[in-house]
Amino acid sequence: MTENKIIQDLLQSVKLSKGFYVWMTFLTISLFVCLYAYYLQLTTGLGVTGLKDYVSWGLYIANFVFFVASSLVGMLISSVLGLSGQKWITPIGRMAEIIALAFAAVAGLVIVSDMGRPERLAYVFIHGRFQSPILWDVTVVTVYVIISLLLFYIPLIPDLSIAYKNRNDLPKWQKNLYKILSLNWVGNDEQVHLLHKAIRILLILVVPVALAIHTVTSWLFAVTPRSGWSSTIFGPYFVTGAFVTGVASVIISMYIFRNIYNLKDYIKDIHFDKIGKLLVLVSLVYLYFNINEFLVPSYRMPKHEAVHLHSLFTGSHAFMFWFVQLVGLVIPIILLLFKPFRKPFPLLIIGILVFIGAWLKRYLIVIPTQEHPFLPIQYVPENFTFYVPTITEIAITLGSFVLVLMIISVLSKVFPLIPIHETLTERKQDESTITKKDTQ
Amino acid sequence: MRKKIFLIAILSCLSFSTFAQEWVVPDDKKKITAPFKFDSEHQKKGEEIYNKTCVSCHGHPGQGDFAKLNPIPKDPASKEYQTNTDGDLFFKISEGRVLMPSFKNTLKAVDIWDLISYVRIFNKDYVQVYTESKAESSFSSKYSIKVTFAQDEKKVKIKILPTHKDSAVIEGITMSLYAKRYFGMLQIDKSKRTDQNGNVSFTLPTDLPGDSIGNVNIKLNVADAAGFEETVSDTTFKVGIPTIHKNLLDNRAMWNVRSKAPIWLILAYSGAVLTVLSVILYILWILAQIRKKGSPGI
Repeated sequence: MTENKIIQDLLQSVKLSKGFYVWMTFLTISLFVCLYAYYLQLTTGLGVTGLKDYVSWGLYIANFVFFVASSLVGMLISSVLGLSGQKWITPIGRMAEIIALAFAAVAGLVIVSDMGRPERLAYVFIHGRFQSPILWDVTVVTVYVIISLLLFYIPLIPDLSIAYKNRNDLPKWQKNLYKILSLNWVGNDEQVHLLHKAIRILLILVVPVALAIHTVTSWLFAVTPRSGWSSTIFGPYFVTGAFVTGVASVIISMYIFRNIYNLKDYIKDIHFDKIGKLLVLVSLVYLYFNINEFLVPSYRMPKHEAVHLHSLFTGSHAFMFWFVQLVGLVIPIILLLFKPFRKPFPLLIIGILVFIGAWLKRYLIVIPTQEHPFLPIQYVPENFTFYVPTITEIAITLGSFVLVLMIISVLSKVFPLIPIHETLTERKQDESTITKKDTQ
Repeated sequence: MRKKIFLIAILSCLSFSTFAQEWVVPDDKKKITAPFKFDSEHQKKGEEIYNKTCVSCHGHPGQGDFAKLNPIPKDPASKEYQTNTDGDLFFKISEGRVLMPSFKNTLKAVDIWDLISYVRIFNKDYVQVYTESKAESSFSSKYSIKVTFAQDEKKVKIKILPTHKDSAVIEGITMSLYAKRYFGMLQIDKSKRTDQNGNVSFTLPTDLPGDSIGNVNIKLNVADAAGFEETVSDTTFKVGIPTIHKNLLDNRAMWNVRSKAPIWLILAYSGAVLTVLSVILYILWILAQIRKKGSPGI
């Protein structure tokens, strides 16, 4: 492949097509339907949700945990794998960053949707206590959004300049956007040096921040002495779970983008194979934490934990629990050990199952515990004792997914999805090593 | 044998349930009547007492918001409740049963009568039967009381003398000593009777906590024949160990307000935030440098 061909291939998606407009119109209409549900909640209060005195954290918080979890994949792909010199992540690195950015940005809004008085959000900062994990969480989510944005933007700078030079058929606003954002990029040594420096610093910085974002989210639960939450392994349990979720979302988007953007020459079967193996690895680690999280308390089975554990193992949440553990974790691990299942389509199906399992898992972490408080539930209306999300609540939650899809769609459409500069540089390096070998 | 045990079990259950159903008041207590006529003043006092002591279980009369306990706390506005005679109510309130506490030691007789006067508002057919008491003079008008503290013996000594030489017995009067604590009164020593000279003494514990200089508020109660106590003396003695209560909210702690956050936590939080922010600012500076090193005319 010539350099020009690569540039043409990777830039062909950036022009806003009819299909894109149709898709965005669909998303916008969906968003407005969901916003109407939020309008109802805002004017009537949280009474429109299924949240009551006992289960006061429901779909929203479960969804928040899921979003934060999904956003961790940016750190896993770009930093952990990138810094360890894995070359195969080049075409999917930006995709992972877009997913991270979209989920992290919307996670903050999801929290606001759980507030009965969202106009008091600033009180977290004005009156927030340093001792409260909620303040830590708000801080670290905000920081993570900023870093993800930078990690999305900075590697994009050379590509913007390439896009500006090579696509003359784009509308004026898009050309101007590229021009402003490319920061006078000409690709001289000094600029390349600075760019690499900035990326390297951010890749290192994002590791502790990403670990913090999900560890602190887990602490929102783990610092309360309640059965199912009061656990010392909640931090790593959440972080490893986050990698599973994130890898599954990357797999799904890899498959979709490969097909709609015609990227078969760039996102190849080997990439699916590799990320399939990565999913096995992170799932195994997560399974290990799951075994610890459930086997140890169920072995000692203290009285207050027993009620909670029985409801998960054999009680009202048993179906969901075993679905999550088996379909969302054990079966994917077994299947992915075999090469045919790491082909794109089977991997997509497995990715979707893991994704659904991961979402339900967050539901199981947040809700059942609250149905089993230490003080017995008594003298309350029947519907206080269990939690069923209402249609309004589900619509608002769907709205957050719509928003994530919108962000991903816009960022992946307006900007080149696969890093052009990096792809070219790597090819040059490969060629030079080959020629070196030849000459030797 | 088994059958017998079964029978006994059933019988005991039955007897328990009948016990739960009926509350037998002795005949002589049934006939007791209030020593005064119920008027709006008594009713008002009674309402205050009701809202403080009774409402949590019995609810607001007539609104059915009583606590769901077993046996069910009766709604004072109910017919079943109002069939009680004044004597029944007085007995039941003072003695208590199962979950209903005895108010003998918490309320004075007059308080209980005030309460009854209040709950009778909810019975339109109620006609009070009462016998004006012969204005029984209070204990302190009949006796003079001397309370002293003997430091060396750690004893509070009481001596009573009749104010009028003629009547009043001074022997065999039941007295109890209490120290005022945060929540209610702590009885000191046992209840004792005066000897023929009108003397009685109570031994104080050596480890009684007092205020910052060791002062303790000591109350002396005299019990009447029905067991109701009247406070006849209320004095403060330096009989306790000086105790300085440290307010837990004064220290820096995880659970305290923001201004009382642990120093290490403030440093850790602000340190982390500042570090990350400065790195981000540095990155922005690098971006500015990139822009500077390039040329605008691409």
